[in-house]
Amino acid sequence: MSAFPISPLSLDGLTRDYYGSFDAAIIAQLAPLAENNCYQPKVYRAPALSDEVVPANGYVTYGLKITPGAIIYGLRLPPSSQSSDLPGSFNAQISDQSLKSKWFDQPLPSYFLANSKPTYLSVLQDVVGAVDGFLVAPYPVVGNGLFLVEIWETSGSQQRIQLVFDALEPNGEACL
Amino acid sequence: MTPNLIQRHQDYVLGSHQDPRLKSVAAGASIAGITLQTDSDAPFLLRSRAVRVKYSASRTQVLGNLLLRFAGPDRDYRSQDMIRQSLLGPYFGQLGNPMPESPEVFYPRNSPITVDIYNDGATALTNLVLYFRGVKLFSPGAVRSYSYPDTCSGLPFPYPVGTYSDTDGLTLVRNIPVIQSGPLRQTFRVKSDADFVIRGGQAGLPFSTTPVNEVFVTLRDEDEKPYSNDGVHMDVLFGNSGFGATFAAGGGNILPVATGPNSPGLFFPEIYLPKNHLMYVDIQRDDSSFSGAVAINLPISFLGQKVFQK
Repeated sequence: MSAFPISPLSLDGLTRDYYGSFDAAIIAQLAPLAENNCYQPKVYRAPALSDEVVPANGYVTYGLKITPGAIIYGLRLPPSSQSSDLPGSFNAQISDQSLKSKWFDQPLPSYFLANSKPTYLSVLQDVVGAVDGFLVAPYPVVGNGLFLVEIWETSGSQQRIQLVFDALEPNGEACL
Repeated sequence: MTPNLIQRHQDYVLGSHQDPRLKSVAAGASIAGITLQTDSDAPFLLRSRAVRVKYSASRTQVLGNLLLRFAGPDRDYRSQDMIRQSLLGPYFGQLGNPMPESPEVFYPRNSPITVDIYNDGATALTNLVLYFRGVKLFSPGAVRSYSYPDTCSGLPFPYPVGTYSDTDGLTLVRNIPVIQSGPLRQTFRVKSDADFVIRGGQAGLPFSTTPVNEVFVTLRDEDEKPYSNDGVHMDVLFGNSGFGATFAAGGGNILPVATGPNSPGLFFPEIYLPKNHLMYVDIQRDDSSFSGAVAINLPISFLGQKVFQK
């Protein structure tokens, strides 16, 4: 008997399939992939480890390679401080080198890349967790899988920027 | 899977009314083997949980030091050790957003929900309440269960509960005293123009200048059969009134994010009421320990859809 696909991403108290709930709608698109053996989760990060402490008003670039055939479904950003659910301030542009296309017509403020919906609180460690900022539709990685990630620091203060891509990576040639 | 069985919304409440030890859980105290027996009328499927303590004067929920584990009907614990509940949900399943339990846990009739708790903080937990939300499973005909006509159309609709007044033009649950120990019963009657399906609800006085903190709601069907074994706090059952509540994080307290009017307390499965049928809403309140508390008129709304037969 087939079961209705449920994504583990929906197992969050604040993710609700209700009017105006974007997360629930996009997670439903991903649900059939949750038990698909052809994909496994993989996390990519930009910029390079040596560049992630960005000086005030600085600019960094990173050549990100994601396995061709993978599906990008969301972006994650850590909170700006230990008691905030908002990301640090910066602008970002992501360019798909294979398709010669930019994701955004103008560099996009980090606020629009993050999802400020918290997943937990910690009294002891002063930490707020956050879920993915889900893309409007899963993004298939084609061609050579190269992306150019550009980051402009906009807060006016040095900060550590870690832009995380959540992807589902193909699991062997048989599934391609 | 529950083929051919009727699923009916159910909240099991495990608080000081069920186990007096939960009235105050001292700093550093642990209590093992707290047990709540499920009802004899139907098996229960647990699908989500919430935990709560009495509000402080500033409406803070100091629950970050609560660790617990619970067990299925065979005392099969669902974690190898007690889990800090703040790691499972930022608002502890309150504000109409319970913490999911997956896969669901099946409890036969008259079986125990067993819980171990530990307070590793420096403050006692007052009036600790554990909520177990899910569905009861009934045979067809065992309980009232209505559904949609073969052909119908719908209209999204909020239905207020209480008494209408020309003075303010509002339908409110009126004159809830500071202490309302016995239930203050409200009769909700669906109008004769259409059926109504309840999918969620909101309640509360978020901008009240006087304390409206400890208000509990028991929903009952037209046979007065309850949807919970005790009153459920309105900030757990519904969503809107969470505004003003704060949750301890780090050295301070933060307001909830991603809850509120756009995220009301939802019922699953929905509750279908044919036209002219009744539902009862029992209100209890005890704000006697909060300075300045007065009698209130409380808004409660059922959210859902009118269903017109065509």
